[in-house]
Amino acid sequence: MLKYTLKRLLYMVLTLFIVITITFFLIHAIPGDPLSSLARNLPAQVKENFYAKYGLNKSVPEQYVMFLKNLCHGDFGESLKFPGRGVADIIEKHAPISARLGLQAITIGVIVGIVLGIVAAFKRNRWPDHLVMFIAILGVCLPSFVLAALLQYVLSVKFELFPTAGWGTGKHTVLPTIALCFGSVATYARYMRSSVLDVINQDYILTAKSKGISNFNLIWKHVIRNAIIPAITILAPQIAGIFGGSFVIESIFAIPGLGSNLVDAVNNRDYTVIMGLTIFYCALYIVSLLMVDILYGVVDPRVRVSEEVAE
Amino acid sequence: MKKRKVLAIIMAITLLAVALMGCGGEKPKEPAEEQGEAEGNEEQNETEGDEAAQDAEIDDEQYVTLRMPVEPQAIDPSKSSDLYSSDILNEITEGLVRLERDEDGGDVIVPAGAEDWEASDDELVWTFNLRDYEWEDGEPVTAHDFEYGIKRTIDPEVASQYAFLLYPIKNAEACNAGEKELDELGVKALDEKTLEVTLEGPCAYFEKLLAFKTMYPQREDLVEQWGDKAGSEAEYTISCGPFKLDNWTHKSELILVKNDNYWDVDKVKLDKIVYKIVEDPNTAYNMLSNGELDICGVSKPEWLEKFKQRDDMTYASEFEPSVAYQFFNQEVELFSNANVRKAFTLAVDKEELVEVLYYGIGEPADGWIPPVMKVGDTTFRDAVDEPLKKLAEENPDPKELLIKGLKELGMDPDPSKVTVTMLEAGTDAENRRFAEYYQQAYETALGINVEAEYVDWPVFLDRVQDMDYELAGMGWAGDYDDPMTFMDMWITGSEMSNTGWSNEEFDELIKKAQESLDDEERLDYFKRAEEILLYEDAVISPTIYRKSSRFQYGYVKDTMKPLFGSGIEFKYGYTQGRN
Repeated sequence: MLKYTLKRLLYMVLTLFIVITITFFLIHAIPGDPLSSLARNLPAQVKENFYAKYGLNKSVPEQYVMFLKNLCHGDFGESLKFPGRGVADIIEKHAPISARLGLQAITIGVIVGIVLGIVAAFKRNRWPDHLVMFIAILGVCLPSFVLAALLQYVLSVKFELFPTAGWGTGKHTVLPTIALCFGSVATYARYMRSSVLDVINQDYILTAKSKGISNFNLIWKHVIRNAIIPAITILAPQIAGIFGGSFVIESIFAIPGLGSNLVDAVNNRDYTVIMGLTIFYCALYIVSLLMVDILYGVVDPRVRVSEEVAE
Repeated sequence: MKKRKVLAIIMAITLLAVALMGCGGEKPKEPAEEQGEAEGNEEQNETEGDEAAQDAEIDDEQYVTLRMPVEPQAIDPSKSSDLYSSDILNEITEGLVRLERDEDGGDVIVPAGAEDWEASDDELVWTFNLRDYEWEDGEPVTAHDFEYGIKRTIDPEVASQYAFLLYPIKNAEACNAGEKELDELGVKALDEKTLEVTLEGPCAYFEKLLAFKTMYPQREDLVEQWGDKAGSEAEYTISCGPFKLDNWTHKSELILVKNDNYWDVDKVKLDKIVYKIVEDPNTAYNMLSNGELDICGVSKPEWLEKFKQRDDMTYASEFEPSVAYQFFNQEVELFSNANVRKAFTLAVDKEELVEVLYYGIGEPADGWIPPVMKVGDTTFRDAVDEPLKKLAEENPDPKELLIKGLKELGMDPDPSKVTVTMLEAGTDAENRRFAEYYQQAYETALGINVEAEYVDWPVFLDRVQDMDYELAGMGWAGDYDDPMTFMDMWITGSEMSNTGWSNEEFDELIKKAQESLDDEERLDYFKRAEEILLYEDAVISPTIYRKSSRFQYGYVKDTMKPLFGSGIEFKYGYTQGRN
């Protein structure tokens, strides 16, 4: 097991390094530079001073070496667009905001989705099933930003129940959370419904039923445990996405999350921020994949066994 | 049983419909007379009226909330280069002067940190006498603070992007290039309260640069203590102006509160200004309509219409020092001919363009210097006719001009065989709307084929700088209140424009205008230069003089937006009658 874990860790570092390298050369290959966000021409001297200050007058490989060196010292650098803001600071400030929203949305999404899926499966072809499937189709078809605009207009502008946009109190998170989780509710409900249907037709369920097991225990111990595996698979990218935040939702509700930072950074060619955030996302993604693998083992003993066999 | 259910559903629906209608129809029930009053109120600058009565009536809670569409870079006069940082800096800093707006919409320079100033006879040495005033922490504002501020901006290591606005100061350009020591810069604190600035050469518009952030005082002790962090958070800023920065939640909001240590604090009525950073325009409009914002710029037609119907709001649309224009790459054979360029210039119906593309926000531009800009104290556009009007009168048919140009070039005179690619900055639906309009305008008027190529803004700038385009459009906003800010970018080798155009007479005129201190003479130079640029050589084709467009609730009073200020000036603002 230790050997396996070490191997996994080594692969993670290697993946990270490859992603960093590719991203670095790609963003320096696209035309434009950080000064273009100014939207105007500047005298040559002023530009030269700016390039010199941030080492942009050096060749790209030189910049790459410099970047790696700083990175080894844990220095992500300073934003080119927002002087004085360290990239690490930006992540530290804005990631928790995206994370809170994402966690709220994903928790509600997963729980509600799973419950709806189970209900739909057990009431197959009856009205609860149709209702859940209707919600699911709506959730898949209706883009989150349309829902967001709708919620905003009805609940904030017309009825003034919630603030239109902004960040600060719990009230501010209600509308964006609903807009964000609607899609996952739909996804999880659909996955859960089909895998529960699969499971309840299995022989062991019949056996359990004939043993006279209570309904709750049947669902909890036998059905969910077996049906939830596909749902966990789609959870991995979503965990990483939690911190990433949704750019569109953040923009509509004026939420100072990380998503809008990344989009702005790309638009402004803010190289240091792009790199910093890429590393952050990449690391998160890799780690969440690892977490999911571990989760599989917890939920499904078969996975554990096969790993040990592989060793 | 069933019948009752149906009845209940119908009743519920009816109730819901009534409720919804009630919400929608609430606004316009006020009598029409109030609307008339609201319209008469368009300009919010009236300061007359009984002061005492005003004081008695103004709201107990004095605050305004407005939209800021983008996060400011840094509240640091040397390091920031965006309008939004300048906006905040203007409210928290008292420089030598402040800009205010007069009744005609032009700018007036009002003494602020400097009580008065004088220039030597050759106008090369300027001496400013500072008033006694303090920073928010009680330290006096001294001439050394101004000297330090200017030197910091020029310091090449700070890499200030607006350092070039200080180039009129002696040795500034050399110091910015690192060729001379900062000690040789022509700025000196003679004593605590006297600042002397020496210029490199004559500069007729030097006074108009005083209000800009590059001339602000800065605290050496604090800036050094803060290091790189200066201006990046509320705690790394210091105020000597009407307000101070109390709280800054990045990408969310900035809160300014009244600075009780401000020397002119009696005139400041607002206790709090909240800038909400809202990028999505629809969200901002929603916030304006339910009162979460008091002031908001509005540019989408459906919302303009909606807000104009509301009688509790006033609309303000003022000229900005900004012009949108089309420009031609003269290294492309077709555009090397002046008649061809003229044909393209005349092909666009600007009246229609303002309506269709800009929803009426702006004025058709037949000149390059926008209205309300001044030479000395004379408004340039009042004294000089727009050159493109003459061009249009003399050439009623642009297609004829094009054919003439094609013949001169020795090309096939059939316009339908000409294909031009227009480079458009931006790739969204709005850019498509713009490019398609121009495409259709050129094709209809000239009978040519126009293709549009859409690229990202940074790519666009790169392509233009590399002269890798045929025809493109962008905007220019002036930096200070003198035609020079619109003119010196076109001289040979300026690096600020990329058309491949060069004209000796034009260069000569601009040089003369730079050296002259005589307003009338300079006006004539600029007049002739503009004529060459537009009428004779048709280097660029201005399309509109841009205007701002914003709504604010009627209870927000006495705000103003100076032409070369960076945003709305709240020093005198207050609210009266907010619910």
